[in-house]
Amino acid sequence: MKSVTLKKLFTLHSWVGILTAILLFIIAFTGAVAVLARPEIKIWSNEQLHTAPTVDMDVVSQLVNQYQQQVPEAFRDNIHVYFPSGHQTHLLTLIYESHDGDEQYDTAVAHVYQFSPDTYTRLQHYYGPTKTFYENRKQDVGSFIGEFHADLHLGEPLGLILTGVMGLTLLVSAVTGLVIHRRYFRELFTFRRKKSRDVWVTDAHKLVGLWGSLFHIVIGFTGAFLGLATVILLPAAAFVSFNGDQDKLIEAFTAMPEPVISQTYEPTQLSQIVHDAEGRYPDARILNATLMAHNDANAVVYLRTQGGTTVGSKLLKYKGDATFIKAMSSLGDIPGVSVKVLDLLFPLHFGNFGGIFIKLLWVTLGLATAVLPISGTMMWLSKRTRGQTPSVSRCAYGRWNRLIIGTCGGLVLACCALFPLQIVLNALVPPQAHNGFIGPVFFYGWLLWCAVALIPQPHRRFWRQFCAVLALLCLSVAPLHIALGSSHLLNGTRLLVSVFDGAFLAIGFAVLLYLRYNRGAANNKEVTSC
Amino acid sequence: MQRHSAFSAIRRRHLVACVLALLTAVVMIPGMTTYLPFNVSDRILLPIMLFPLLWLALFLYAYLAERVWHPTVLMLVLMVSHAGLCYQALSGASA
Repeated sequence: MKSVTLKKLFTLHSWVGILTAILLFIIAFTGAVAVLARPEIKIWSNEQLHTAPTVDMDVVSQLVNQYQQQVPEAFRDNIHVYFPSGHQTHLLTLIYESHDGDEQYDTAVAHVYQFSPDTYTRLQHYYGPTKTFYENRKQDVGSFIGEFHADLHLGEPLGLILTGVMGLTLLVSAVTGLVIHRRYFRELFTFRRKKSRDVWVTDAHKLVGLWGSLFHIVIGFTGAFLGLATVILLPAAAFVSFNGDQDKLIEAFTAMPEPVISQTYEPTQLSQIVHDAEGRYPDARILNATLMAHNDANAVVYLRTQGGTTVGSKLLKYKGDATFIKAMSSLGDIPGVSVKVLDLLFPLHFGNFGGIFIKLLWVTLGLATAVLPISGTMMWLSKRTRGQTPSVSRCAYGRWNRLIIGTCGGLVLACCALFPLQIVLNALVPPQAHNGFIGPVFFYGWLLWCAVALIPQPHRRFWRQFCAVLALLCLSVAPLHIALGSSHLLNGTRLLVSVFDGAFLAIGFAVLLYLRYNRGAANNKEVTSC
Repeated sequence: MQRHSAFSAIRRRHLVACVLALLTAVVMIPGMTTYLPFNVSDRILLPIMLFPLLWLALFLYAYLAERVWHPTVLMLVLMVSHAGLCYQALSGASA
C-alpha cells in the first residue's frame, strides 16, 4: 500500500477517534453493562424475581378471561400477556389494547393490569395511551442503562440517530486501525509491560484493537443498523418500495396480522398452548403471548420465545384451540434471505445467543471497545507533549486528562452508583416512585463529577479520587444488600445475586489494591495543577 | 490536520465525507429498492443492511481519493440518479 494512503488512513484514524472518543466511550461502556441488563441485572434489581417465579398457566388463563369481561368491547381482541422474567417485566402483566383508540383517545390505548408473580394479587391498573405506559414503566438499573445505551435518553429519532452515527464512526476507526496496524498481526503477543507507561499504553491499544477487531466491526455495523434503520432507512425504503402506500407497507411488515373475527364463541386454550410450546422447545424461554380475537373461533395466539437451539428469538403461531401452526422469525413470517440475516444481527449485537460465557466475552470486548478511543486519545496527546517543540503543554495535557476522567469516569461512577441506590430504593421506596430517583441520581451524579473535573488539581490526584469513589461504591453493594435485602451474599438464596454482590466486592478490593500499589509511584511523579 | 496535512482541499473533503457521503448513502437505500431483482422484503431490507458498508466506502473514498472532485462527482451522480428513481417510483404511483 502506498505510504501516502497509509498516512491518510492514519490521520483519519486519529481524528475520527479523537472527535468521537468521549461519546464512543459513553455508548460502548453502557453497552458493555447493558449486555447483562436483561435478564441478569434485572433479576438482581427486582426482589420478586429472586425466587425465579414459575407462573401457573391455569391461573393466568383465568385472569385473562376475568379481566377481558371488565374492559370495554374495543379492548377485548388484542391482548398481550407478559410473563414475569428478567427480560421484560418483573410482574405478570396483562395488556388489553385497542389500536384505534376509544372515545377518549385517538391513538392506541390500553387497559393494563399488573399482578404479583407469587400471589397473583392485583398491584396496579393503568388506563391510557399504550405508548405512555411503555414509556413510564418502572425502571431499574438494568433497564435504565440498557435504554441509555440505545438512545442516550434523548428519545427517537435524535438519540437513535446519534448512536447509529457512532456505530458508523466505530466502523471507520476499526477498519482504518486494522489497515494501519496490520503489521502488528505478526506481533499479536508482544506487550512491553516493563517499558514506560506510554509504550505499554501504545502496545495495549494496538493489541486490544487487533484482537478485538472483528468484534468492533460487528458492533459498529450492527449498531449503525439498529440506530439508523428504524428511524430513517426502513421508512424511506418501504415508502418508495410501496409507492407511498402506508397501509400496504404496514400489512407487509406486520409480524402478527389481525384475524377476521367470526363472532362464534370458542374458548382460547392459552394454558394448553404454553404447555405445547414448552414441550416443543424445552430449552427456550417463553417471554410473552399475544392473543388475537380471544375466545373466538378464529382466535390466533403468538408466543415469543428466546433461547433454545436458535440464535435469534422466535415467534410460535397457534390457533385458539391449541393447534400449532408454525414457528417463524421474531420479525414475522416474511420470506427472503435478508430476514434470516437480520435475525442474526440482533443477537450478535446484544451477545445473548450462547449463554453466560458469550455474554461475559461480549462484556469484556465491549469494555475494550470503550477503552480504545480513550487510550488512542491519550497516545495522541502524550505524543504531542514530547519533543523539543511540544504542541500540547503539560498544563493542557493535564486539563485533557481531567476532562476525560470527569466525563468518562463520571459515567462509570454514575452507573456504579445506581446499584447501591437500587438496593436502598427496593427497601425504602414504593416501586412506583423508583423512576423519580434513578434518572436524577444518574445524571446529577455524572454532572457533579464533571464539575469536580473543573477544579484545578493534578490529573493523577483526580484519577486517584475517581478510583477511591469507585471502590467505595462497589464495596457498598454487598453490605447494603446484607442489611436491607432478603437474598444476599451470606444467605446465598439466589446464586445470581451472590455472584453480583461478590463481583462488586472483588472490583472494589481490586481498585483499593491498585490505589495502594500506585501510591508510591504517584508520589514520585511531578504534579502540577493548572 | 492543518500543518503538513496528508490531504489536499481538506475543507471540501470534510464536506464531501461528512455530509455528501451520508446523504448519498441515505438516498441510495430507497433508490436501490426500485431496481434490485429480489422479492419485496429482500428488496427493502438488503439495501438497509448494506448501508453501513456503503457509507464507509463513500466516506473513505472522500478522503483517500487523489483529487477531491472525483468523490464529489461520483456521489452527486449516485445521489441524483437514485433520487430520480425514487421520484419516478412515487410519481408513477400517483399518476
